[in-house]
Amino acid sequence: MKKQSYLIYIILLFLTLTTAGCNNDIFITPMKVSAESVELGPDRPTASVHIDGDWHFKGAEYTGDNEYQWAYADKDECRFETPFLDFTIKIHEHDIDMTLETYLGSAPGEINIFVANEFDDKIITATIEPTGEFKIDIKDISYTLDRWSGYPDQDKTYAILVVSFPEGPEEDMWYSFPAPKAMPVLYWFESWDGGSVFADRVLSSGHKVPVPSYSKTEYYFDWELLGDEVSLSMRRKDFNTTHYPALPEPLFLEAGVPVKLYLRCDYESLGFNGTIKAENCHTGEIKDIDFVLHMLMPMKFHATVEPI
Amino acid sequence: MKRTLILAAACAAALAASASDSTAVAHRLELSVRGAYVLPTNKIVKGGNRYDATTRSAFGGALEYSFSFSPKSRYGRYYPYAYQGVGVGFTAFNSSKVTGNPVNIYVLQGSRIATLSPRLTLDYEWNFGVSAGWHKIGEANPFDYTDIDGFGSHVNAYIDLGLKLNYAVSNRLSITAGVNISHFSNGNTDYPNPGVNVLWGKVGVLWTLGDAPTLPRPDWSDFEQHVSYDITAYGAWRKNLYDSSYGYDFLEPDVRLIPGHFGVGGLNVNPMWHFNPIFSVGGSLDFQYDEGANLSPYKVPSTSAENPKFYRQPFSHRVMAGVSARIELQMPIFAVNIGIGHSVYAPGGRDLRGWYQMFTLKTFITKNLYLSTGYRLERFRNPGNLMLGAGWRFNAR
Repeated sequence: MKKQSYLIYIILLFLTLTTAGCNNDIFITPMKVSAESVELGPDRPTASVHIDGDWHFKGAEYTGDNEYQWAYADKDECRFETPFLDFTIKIHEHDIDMTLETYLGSAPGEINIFVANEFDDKIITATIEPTGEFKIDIKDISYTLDRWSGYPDQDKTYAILVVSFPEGPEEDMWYSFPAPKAMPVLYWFESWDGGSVFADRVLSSGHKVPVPSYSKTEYYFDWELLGDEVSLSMRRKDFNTTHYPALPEPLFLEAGVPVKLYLRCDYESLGFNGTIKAENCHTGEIKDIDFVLHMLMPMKFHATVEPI
Repeated sequence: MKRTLILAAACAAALAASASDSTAVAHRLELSVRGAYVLPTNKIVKGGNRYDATTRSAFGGALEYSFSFSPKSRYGRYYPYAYQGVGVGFTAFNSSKVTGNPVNIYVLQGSRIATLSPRLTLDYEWNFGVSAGWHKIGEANPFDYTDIDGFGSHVNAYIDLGLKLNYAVSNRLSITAGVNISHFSNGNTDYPNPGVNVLWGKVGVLWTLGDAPTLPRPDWSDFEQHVSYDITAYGAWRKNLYDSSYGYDFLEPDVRLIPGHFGVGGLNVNPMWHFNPIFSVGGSLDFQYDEGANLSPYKVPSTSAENPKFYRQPFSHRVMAGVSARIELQMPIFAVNIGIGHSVYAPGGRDLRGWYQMFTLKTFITKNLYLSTGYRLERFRNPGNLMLGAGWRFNAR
């Protein structure tokens, strides 16, 4: 018993002297995250990251379809709530919990969460997959048709039809070009509400809307909604219209003279202002979106005879 | 802390004496004066300091009390001429602005080496204690020898070994004269710690009380050769260095002091063959833990070299296991153990790898229990750490 007591005293003395020198001020606990990247989506709406050591939440940034947002924490929560994203970050003492409610982007988005301590910083990246399709409802569309913009530097002339008489016609004749079944028109929508993601999504949604058509009046021409419809798009697309200018007068051809006949069309670049009334089906919000419809429209045919 | 431990050892020695199997009979008082030459073994004493002061000489004095055991006791029979006790002295250096004038308190032990004539003997004596009152460095850079204005600590360890002639004028009065070499150091508990080495010449007067020893030779007739097993546990604190250029191969090493002190602890398992009551040899299995070992790779990059922070290194980088060869010289109460060893397990890096040397003074409180005071040197010249602890001797005879 006495021997055991002495041994215990020896061990205590050893521990006391060793710990008396402990230099705890020089050591810091490294900040360690259990994962530097996570994925969330319709099948995995939640994720959690464990953090060891001293740390604090600096903020988070979201990058999605034409969207960017930075958020700080409000007490123990950080939230992204946009027309396309509902994402929550809960901050605990040693954990970060992420919940993806909805993300309606057309491609995966990214949320970077910034954590740091006095000596180190780390980024936790959450890749978010779309959970569904963005739903909007077009309530109404209207155009200003009595004035429009022109972009002469973008006007084009295209050869629509070429007819050859390599031997010339057998006899003198008047040639009339056949009327095309339809003429192509190039178009795209552009938002006047620069930076509005909702506006961009509406104008890119692909919903069918009526567009102005060429209309011949007695003396000039006009624009009317005559039934032509297109898909809403902010990228260049085309559609065929049966509303186009009158064809030129017939051409006289001399018998036996080899000629080529050209039917050409002058296209003008135009811009029509308009307003779309659209509803965000997820929030119920109805918004008027001002836009300009760019169109490359056939405005005039002309025919020529050129000797071969 | 060091002073307390040394005083405790001195008290323990006194207790051990009273706990021995006889009554001490010879008491001695010795008063000596000494003059010294300070060996130029470190930059500070050679003039590498703020004052460009060289420390070449010193003088001092000491008063020592010692006793020897009765010839009827086992200690008296085994070590008839041994004496042990305590002393107090002072040292005054010629450049006290840098060194200070410390006071030394120590335990001592000595014995006769040879009888040269009926009145004249050649003796040896060692001292071990604390030296307090050194001038401690201020705000100066401990690595800048143009800025240093003192040493690492107010208190240093004091180790002394001497040879002296003892001329007995009468049964009670002797005149002594001899040479000593002293070493002052804080055992790497603070910087700078270059160690001060002094060569003394001293003369003294020795007054003996009680009966002088009567046995001309030691009596070891009842001694049996045997193996004992010493288990020693120790701890201490130390300074550590790190290389702030670690990891940058294109830079020269930039060794710096790490702020603060680190804990050190160890365990020695030391079986020894005792040839006779004085001399024994053996080997030892040594384990050491050093909180501040191998820290260079773990510096937090965003912290400065002057005020670094570190990530805690793996436990395996803080420990070592080694084997050493030991010899031990045992006298009454005290035993001096010297060892040379090499690491066999030190996965953490250079700090704990390689050769090491251990110098230990054991103060036996009982036949089995001892206090252990020692120093560990690394690779024969690099400062290591103090070893302050206790141990148990199994199969003590």
